Amino acid sequence: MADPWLLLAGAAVATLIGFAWLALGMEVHWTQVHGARPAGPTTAATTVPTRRLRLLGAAALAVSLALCLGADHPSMAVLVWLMLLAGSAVAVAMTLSTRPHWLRWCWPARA
Amino acid sequence: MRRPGAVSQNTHFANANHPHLHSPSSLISVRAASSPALQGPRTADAMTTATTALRPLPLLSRIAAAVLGGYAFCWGFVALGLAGFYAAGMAFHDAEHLSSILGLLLYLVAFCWTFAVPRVGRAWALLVGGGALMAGIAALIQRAMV
Amino acid sequence: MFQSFRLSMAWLHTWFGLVLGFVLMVVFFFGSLSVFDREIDRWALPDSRFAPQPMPSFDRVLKPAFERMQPAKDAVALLDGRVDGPIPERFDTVRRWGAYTTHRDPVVAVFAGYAVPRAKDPDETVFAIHALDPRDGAVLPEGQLRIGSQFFYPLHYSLNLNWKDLGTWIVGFSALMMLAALVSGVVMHRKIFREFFTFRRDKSTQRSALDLHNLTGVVALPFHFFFAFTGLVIFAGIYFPVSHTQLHALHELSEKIEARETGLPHERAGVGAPLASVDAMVAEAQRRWAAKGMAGDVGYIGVEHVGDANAYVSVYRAGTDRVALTGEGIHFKASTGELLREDPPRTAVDSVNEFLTGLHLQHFRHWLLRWLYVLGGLLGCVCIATGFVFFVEKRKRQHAKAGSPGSRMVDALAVTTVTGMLIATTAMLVANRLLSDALPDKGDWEKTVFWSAWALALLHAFARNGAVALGRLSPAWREQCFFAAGGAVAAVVANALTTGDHLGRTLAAGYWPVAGVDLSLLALAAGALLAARRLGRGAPAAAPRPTPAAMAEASNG
Repeated sequence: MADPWLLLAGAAVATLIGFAWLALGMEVHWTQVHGARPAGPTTAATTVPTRRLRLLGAAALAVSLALCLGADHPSMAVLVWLMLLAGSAVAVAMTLSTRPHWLRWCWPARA
Repeated sequence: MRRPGAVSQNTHFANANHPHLHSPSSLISVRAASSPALQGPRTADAMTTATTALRPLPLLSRIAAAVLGGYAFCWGFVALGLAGFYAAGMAFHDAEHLSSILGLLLYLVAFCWTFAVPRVGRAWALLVGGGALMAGIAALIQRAMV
Repeated sequence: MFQSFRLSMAWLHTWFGLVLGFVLMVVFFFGSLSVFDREIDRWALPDSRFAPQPMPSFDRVLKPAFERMQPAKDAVALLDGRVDGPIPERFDTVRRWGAYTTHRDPVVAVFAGYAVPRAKDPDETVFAIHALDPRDGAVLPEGQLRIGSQFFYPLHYSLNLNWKDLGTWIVGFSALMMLAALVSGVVMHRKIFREFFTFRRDKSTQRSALDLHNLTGVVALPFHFFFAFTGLVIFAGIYFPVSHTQLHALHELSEKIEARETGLPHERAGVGAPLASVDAMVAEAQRRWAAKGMAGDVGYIGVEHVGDANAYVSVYRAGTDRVALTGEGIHFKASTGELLREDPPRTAVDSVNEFLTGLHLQHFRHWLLRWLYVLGGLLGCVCIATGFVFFVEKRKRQHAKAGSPGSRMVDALAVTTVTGMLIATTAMLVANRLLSDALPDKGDWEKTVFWSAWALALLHAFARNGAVALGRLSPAWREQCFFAAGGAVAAVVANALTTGDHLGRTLAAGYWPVAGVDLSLLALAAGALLAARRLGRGAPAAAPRPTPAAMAEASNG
């Protein structure tokens, strides 16, 4: 069993990335991060890959829960996970509000 | 200087406030008072209108029904739950805890319901009447067991 | 009365949220501080700055201390009117002794409950409560106030207003209103998923405040809901005292039956008996826990019917590694040490109840979760504060035109409750360092400083917010941010000067209780200064410019 601190750090990272992906799946935040969509017909390269981002985002949050359960007694793990969700959501929202370009690397836009 | 992302964000939210999406509850939104230069009778806060249309006595009755009536109803529920679960074989403190946990959630529901129900008289009747009935049954159960 | 369900919920949210928001602000802020209440105690009482200790030996350390104890003077004074004849001078029949410690306490909390001779209520009990140094059994002096666990913590659940539990009732009602505000807020917030990550800082104060209010309310919704709810569950016995009133007879019946079933006597026998070695009983309890695969520390030792033949000793395991508080109780006959009962595994209902109360009372060892709880509490504070700001911003121009004082009142009260509260807190900590430890009622002086500083903040807020009557931002916000920052820095400096435990030393030694409080105070100062700077810059722009989007929205209305 890995060191609990490592598992919890992993859980925190997983929630941050998960919420970043879920946010990017929304057009308004995608354009915040990657800039406005270029004019012209919508192609695969210019639409927001919403479904994929939402699925992966949810999966990342699930991975985070699994890591939390690995680190602690289940009754505490659930509480830690819920609080990590709250903290990560705020962090992502603040990043979108102040430095949205920091999230570009989470899901680079196709050229 | 605005970044491109900010412009598209504003456009998005402006479109989201298109009139056909409005319902009376959007009176909570910002647009009504967002600029002094555009204040006018139509942008007057309809929430304020709704409030000034509320006469004090019916409002006080509703608040009292929610707070006091709600409490009476939940007291009855907790008493009935405690006596009932105990009579059914649950440990006393378990019965106490379960009735309290459920009773507190019930208070929340009753409180919100009292504000939503159209006629406050109905709220009073159900809450106080129901509470008294449940407390009465609890008293009977106690009489039978002690 | 209301045209729709949503409107009724909006009215409920606005007006009950506003009125009780002032109480909830206090509850959430001091609740956040209470997560680290024992660490604040260490900061305030330098004599207690030693490492946490396990439960000391009962026979050698606790028993002599218990035997010396007598009820507190003010507890005895409260018996006035509750006894026939004069108030007794000595209390010799001890109902119970209790000793309690957690992994964060260098000191042991001990209490004794005494029977009251000639009391009108035969169950009347008067208490003595102390903190003991576990290394030698010395009782810590009473005049010194444990600012964290004896002031901030009770402030958050009772407003330190103890007359007839009035403060606890007010907080309880506020908690119920918090739940109602969460439910009604969700009903009102139509774009709850779409705006989950939305915080538009470049728009008007009103829009930004509403965005932040929604954000902090929604992302921590489970936290806000569960803390308000579990707070109510913890005190359910006070709010719905059914088993002590209407169903008292049923309660008595159940106690008698339980005493028969568990073998733990409900009443004294009336015959004296000695106390066998409690240390041996504790060792046996620990052996039994280990045999079940649940080796652990002792959290609580209790002796019931002290000195009587029916006396029994209860040993409970500290819930350091899980959410439930203490458990796995093992009970011994006090005079012989023979095992009377090992508590059976919890029932489903009991497990649920212990989980709910345990998640709020936090006796577990999990530093990350504790800090996340502080984050949750502070998000709650931001939610409430932005609620006030939104309320005022939305109405102040109309009120300014109509000459109505409503916005101005609310704004002044908001300043008092948000920044004024920070000023009072830092002032109390500064006073704690500046007043001499030898001062007999030092705790009372510290409380006076707290309340006085808050009162001054109130006066300042009302005096300085004429601008709101003109539809502008009150300068009191910025000014009080400066005061709070100054107070926080002063407290850190005062600690360094009066105890020598400055950050250089505490960080090097890894003594986190004091280092943590100092660092938190510095973080508070930094945050307050940042806010003050923003407020200073933003003031001319507080009246929002009509943007193309706003004009489109307004004309669509």
